Amino acid sequence: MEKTGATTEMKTIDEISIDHHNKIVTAPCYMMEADIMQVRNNVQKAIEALVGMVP
Amino acid sequence: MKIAVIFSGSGVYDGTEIHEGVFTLLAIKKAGAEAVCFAPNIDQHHVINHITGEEMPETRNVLVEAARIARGDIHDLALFDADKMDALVLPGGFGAAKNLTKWAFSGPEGEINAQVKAAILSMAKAKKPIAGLCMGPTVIAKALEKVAFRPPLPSVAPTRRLPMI
Repeated sequence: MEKTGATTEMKTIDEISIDHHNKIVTAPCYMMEADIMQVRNNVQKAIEALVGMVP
Repeated sequence: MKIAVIFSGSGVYDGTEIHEGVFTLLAIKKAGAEAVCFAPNIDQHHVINHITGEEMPETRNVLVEAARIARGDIHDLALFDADKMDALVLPGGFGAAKNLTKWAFSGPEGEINAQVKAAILSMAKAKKPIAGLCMGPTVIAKALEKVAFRPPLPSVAPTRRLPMI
């Protein structure tokens, strides 16, 4: 991933990563061992953060 | 508020991860926004039997398969217009790394679909927010490669059974 110039952060299924400067939100979801409820909550957090960045 | 969602097929091993896709649409609705679904009108890299992980001898179209998740309410990515969208979401699933890019086979060297790249770049240049789930961040990173962005993207070791090819 870092070969593209991106930087990475380790996150758990209960966390998301927010880059306020570039307005990019990322979430691990099924990248790791996770159940469907955890993924739903992780997606919810990411979309809430995304919507919060819309002026 | 209109939030574009770019799907890459239907099914975790050769397309969009369906749970992530559906939860994205649900979360957008809960936020009071409107989801506008897109997918490229191209053939999938391949078709995977989701029980065995084996490749199946058939051809499927990314847009036609993604239309299953969107209940038919989906647009050809060729029609994407950043001016009409407020934000963009790239859900995960191996389709992101097999159909939108070739990350699953060639890593960051794998090429990205031109329409996908154009959509992400046009949103980024307009300073509109972008979200990536699971494999989605690899598509964003590839699209913004060699651009003056340094997005932090979550990286976690996959521990699940992940048939790559």
